[in-house]
Amino acid sequence: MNIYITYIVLGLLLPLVALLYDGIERKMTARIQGRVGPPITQSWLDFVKLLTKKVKLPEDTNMLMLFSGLVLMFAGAFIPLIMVFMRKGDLILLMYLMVGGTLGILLTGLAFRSPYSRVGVSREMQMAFAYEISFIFAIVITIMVTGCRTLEACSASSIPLIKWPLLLIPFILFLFVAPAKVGVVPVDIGEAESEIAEGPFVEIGGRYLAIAKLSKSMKMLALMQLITLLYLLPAGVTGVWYWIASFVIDGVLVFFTISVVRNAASRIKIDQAVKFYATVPLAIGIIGLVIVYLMRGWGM
Amino acid sequence: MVEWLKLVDKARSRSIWMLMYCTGCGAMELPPAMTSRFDMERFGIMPMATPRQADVILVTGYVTKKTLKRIIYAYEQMPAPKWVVSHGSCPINGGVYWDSHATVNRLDLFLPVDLYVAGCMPRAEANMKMFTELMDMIAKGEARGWEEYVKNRDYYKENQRKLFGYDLVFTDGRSAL
Repeated sequence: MNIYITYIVLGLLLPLVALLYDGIERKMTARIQGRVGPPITQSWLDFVKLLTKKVKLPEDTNMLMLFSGLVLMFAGAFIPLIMVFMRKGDLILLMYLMVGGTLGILLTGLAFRSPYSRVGVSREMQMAFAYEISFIFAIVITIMVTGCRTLEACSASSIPLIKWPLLLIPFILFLFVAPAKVGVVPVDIGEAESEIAEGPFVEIGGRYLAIAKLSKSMKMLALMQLITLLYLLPAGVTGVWYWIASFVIDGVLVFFTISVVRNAASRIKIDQAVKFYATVPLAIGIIGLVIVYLMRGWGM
Repeated sequence: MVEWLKLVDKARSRSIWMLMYCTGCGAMELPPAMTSRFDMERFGIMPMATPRQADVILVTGYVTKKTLKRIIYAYEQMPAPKWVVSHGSCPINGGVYWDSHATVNRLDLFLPVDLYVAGCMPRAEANMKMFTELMDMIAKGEARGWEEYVKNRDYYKENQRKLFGYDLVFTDGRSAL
């Protein structure tokens, strides 16, 4: 019974925390640009405002597609978020759920006839083909190195010290994938505001947009916590210290993988992004897989 | 219930997303308001790319017959609550283009304008004053232009018909332009 109460409390609190991290990220971006920036509660205010707006959709919207897209998008961010914070569940399932979130964005975009949304979906799809494979490589290499598939057993602190250098490979892959997965500036080509007017989200507003924005911030927090849990959390951290350490390391990760990246680079073109993701991270992934496989053969 | 509505108004006033309909020279005055010197994002004000996600349509500069159609179309696509801000002299009385055959001298005959900023062009300080004023009006619940547009729809549609010579009928989502 107790565990259910924990899940309910986490399910209510973690989305709010995710929105808070979004606000912190916006504040850090502003400080890097020499601005004051919005208060860190800004994303909560945005969320309340969006929830209370009236809904206005094009009359030829495919509602089934829109709703299934939004549900997939929400589930693909919310369930991984609960899983990684509770340290319960299977890595393969987590991988499928997070890829499902990307599918949700595509379905949402395909519900409208707007050409912007179609172009956005096409670009989003190309990006997904380019980076999701590195994400899958990172998870597979982690499973091969640690030799376990569940989140509670599968962390850097639970394996012998000699294997730690091998975990650097998936860690670097995650750092490459994180900006594309979250969708921030150099690689948010599918949702480019100034070029194709938010891409798949061009026609949605009000509470549908609130769900989309919430899913995006939850996806960011879930991904950061996944990296923290698998590679960065020190050994033997439990109880309150687990939560404090998690949130601090998540904040540092958000700063380095999201804020710095989006301020250091401008938006690149779709062919440049696909070329990059299909060469550098993919090569690291394949070489890493071969290395890990050979090391296993030598009995490590 | 009233307390909850106050909270909602507060959230709305602190999170204004703008659709910048930059028709004239007003576009030049907005980058200073966005960048590090004046920084409008500290009030939660952000530019938006699409009318569906915007709360405020900012008409900067002169309005011609051709652009007015697009402005009305963008305005009708926005979900309520929504506000119109007329920025500069041109949408108020025509500005320096008052005797041109193509310009529309008064925007408020065609759309319910909530706030006017005079000036040719209003400088960045005036823009910041405009943002704070708009935030105050929204927080107090004074800016109710979208309700006026629904209530006096016949008046606005009649004016639009007189100007264009035909009915502007937009089936939502399909372009009638």
